[in-house]
Amino acid sequence: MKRVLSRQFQPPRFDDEEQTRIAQIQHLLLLICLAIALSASGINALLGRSISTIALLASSSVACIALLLLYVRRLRLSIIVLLSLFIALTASLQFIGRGAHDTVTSLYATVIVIGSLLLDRHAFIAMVAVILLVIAGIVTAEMYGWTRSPYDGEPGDWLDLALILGLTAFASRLLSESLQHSRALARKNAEALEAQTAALRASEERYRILAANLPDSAVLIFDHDLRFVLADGPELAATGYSKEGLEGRVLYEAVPPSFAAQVEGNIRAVLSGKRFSAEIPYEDRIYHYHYVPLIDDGGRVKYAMILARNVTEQRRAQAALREREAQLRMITENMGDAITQLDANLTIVYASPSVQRVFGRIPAELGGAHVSALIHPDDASDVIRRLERMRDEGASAVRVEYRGPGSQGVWLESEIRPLYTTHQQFTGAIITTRDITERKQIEAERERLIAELEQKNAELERFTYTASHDLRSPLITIQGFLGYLERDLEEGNTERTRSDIRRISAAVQKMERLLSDLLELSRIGRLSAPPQEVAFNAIVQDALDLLAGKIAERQAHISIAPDMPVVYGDRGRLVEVIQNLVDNALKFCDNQKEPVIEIGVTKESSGSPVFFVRDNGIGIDPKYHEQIFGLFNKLDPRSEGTGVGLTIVRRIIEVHGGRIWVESTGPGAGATFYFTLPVVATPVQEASHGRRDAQSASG
Amino acid sequence: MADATLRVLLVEDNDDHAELIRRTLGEQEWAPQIVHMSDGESALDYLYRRGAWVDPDQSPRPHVILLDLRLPRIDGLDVLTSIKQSADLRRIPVVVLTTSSAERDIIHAYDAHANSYLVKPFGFEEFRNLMHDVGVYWLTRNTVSPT
Repeated sequence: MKRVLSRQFQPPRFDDEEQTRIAQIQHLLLLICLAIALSASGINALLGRSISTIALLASSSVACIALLLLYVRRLRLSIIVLLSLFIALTASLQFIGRGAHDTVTSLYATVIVIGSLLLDRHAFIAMVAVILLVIAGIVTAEMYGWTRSPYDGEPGDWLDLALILGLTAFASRLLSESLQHSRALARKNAEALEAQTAALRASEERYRILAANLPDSAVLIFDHDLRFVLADGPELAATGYSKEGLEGRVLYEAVPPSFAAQVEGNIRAVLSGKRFSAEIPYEDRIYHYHYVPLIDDGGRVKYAMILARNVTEQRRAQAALREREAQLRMITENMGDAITQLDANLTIVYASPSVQRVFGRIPAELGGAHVSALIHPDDASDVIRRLERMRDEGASAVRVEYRGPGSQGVWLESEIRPLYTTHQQFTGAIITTRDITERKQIEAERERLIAELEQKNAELERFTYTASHDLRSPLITIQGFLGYLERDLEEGNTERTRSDIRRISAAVQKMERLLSDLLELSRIGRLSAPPQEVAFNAIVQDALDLLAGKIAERQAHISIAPDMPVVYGDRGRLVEVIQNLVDNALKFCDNQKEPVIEIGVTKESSGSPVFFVRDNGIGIDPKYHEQIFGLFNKLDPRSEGTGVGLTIVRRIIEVHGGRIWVESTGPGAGATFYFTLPVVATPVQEASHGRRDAQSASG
Repeated sequence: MADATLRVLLVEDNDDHAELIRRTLGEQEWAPQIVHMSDGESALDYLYRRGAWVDPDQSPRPHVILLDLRLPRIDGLDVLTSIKQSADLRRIPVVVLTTSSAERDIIHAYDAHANSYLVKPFGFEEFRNLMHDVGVYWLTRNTVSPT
């Protein structure tokens, strides 16, 4: 109830604070006036002073109207009504009292003071003017004796009063305005101060938010008394401290003395203007401390700031990385394969210890060398071209085979992997290299065996072809003449019967010879006896012994060089070679009355010995020099033999790893068969002949 | 063809085979004149009229050449190639008559433009029949190119 009432009888509020204040004063005045007027009218009524009672009740009514006007926010009007009431009351009292000399006149001064407080300047001047006019009226009424005043009014009275009240009005207005002015000033100052305080608060808030949110960090700021001015940040709690427990306290109060002693020196150093960093472990964590002096506008160090960052994770990751790198390096350095790393200029930046074993180069001496230092000069350009193509065209890993840098015939195989940045820029290559010499040798050996097999196969094919062809011939002959034989008998042609039987018989013999020669040829591939060292002269002697009959028959002269080298091979087969060659020579010497056959040794340009059998027979046209060694090839179809002899000779020589060829300028010039054989001691030295003979004699 | 004599050039290194061919062809009423050469070199000498064969009267052109493949000195295939590359000789039919039935020889012979390829058969009758057929076809049925 009380609250409702109090709210109901509240003076109105205005946007302007000054107006609100005036309304409050006005409200208070009205209430006081009402209370006085009503209580006075009550007392007067009891005393039976009816006129006074009526006057006071009328005044109360006017005061109520003013109060109502105030409530409907007609502040100015309400003031004017109140002041007018005061003036009217005063004038009335003067009129019924002692005129201008009545003491009630001093009430005007009160009204002026109230007016100076409540009215604006123009209204105030108007009010003062009204008061002076009213007094003038009173004085005038006095002069004319219209009042009950015992005094005669005179203009001097008005002047005195006007002077006094004017001064009062001036002084009170001056006072009121200066009061208003200082109040406005104070309000402005207060507002400015408030704005400044808010700005400061916002600024501090920002710094604090910054400090509170610095990731993995704590921020500590000390003043010169080593007092915590600020302590904040996500890491602060992790260390067991709190903002509240630190801020405003000095270092030694806030943290254990041992820790305080540890950091005091640093803080003092910062306060003296030093700026530095340090990494200090705290419990199981590692903190990176930035010590930063905070300097004011005057260049003085105001505070010391410690920015502590928890770098435990980074340090752990770095340590793990280092550990991994060490492991990789250990693997690299203990690998059998050599590892090298190149930069974009193909310069060696790393060489593992195995480089020494694989390349024969000392790793420490290779740093900064071009990759060509690891490649044989003949292969370098090829490998470098492939590396450059990898660099320029972005090829993926490649595998290359090349010879090592030394002259030992080492073969290497490298796998080259390019290294790129995340922007696909070539930065070098990692090369893994192993020694493949053994594999290469095996490959070469395999190639050689394949080639040999292919050659043998081709030879066999040629042999089968020739053999089948040449074996068919006598069969056709036999069949054909058997048919004619029947006819010869029917016709009783004895002559032709005999000749046909001869032909059949010759064909059978030829067939038999062919078969035995083929058998002989097929056996040569397999050595009949283990190879041995044997003096070539001994071989020649054996062969000539076998041919003694034929030589005697042809009356041939055989010359043999003395002290020919000792050869290594199948003695029986080599005898066969000489026997065939000498037999051949005798066969084609029938144009000569005195056949001469020479057996000797000469030297090739390389110094190895070359044996020869030379005759002075019919010779061989150079265009047939290769053909004569072919199976069943005979230059003269009517000559004796099957055409296998020279084939057998070549085969024996080849089985021994030698070569055979014939030289003859042509028909009538004789022929020389040359051949090479493995010899026990080369080159032939005159001084050692005797000894070798002695060896062969003993062997 | 003013000269009515049928002529065969037989190139055969095996004397026995040459004798068989000579006998089988000689039995016919159209028996040809046979010139026998026992190696490739002398066959080419005859055809190119070199050495002993310079006189064209001594070396008249044959109506057919019977050519063995395996020959001393110059091989039968080389003789064939030489004939077929010669503007004068290439129109003379060349019948390869050999013991070889190897694919390689057959291909090479036809590659060198052999007119026919015959394998010498086993058996007396077979041999005679073949020579009879060869003679009848190449000497009496076949028309020789005018020289």
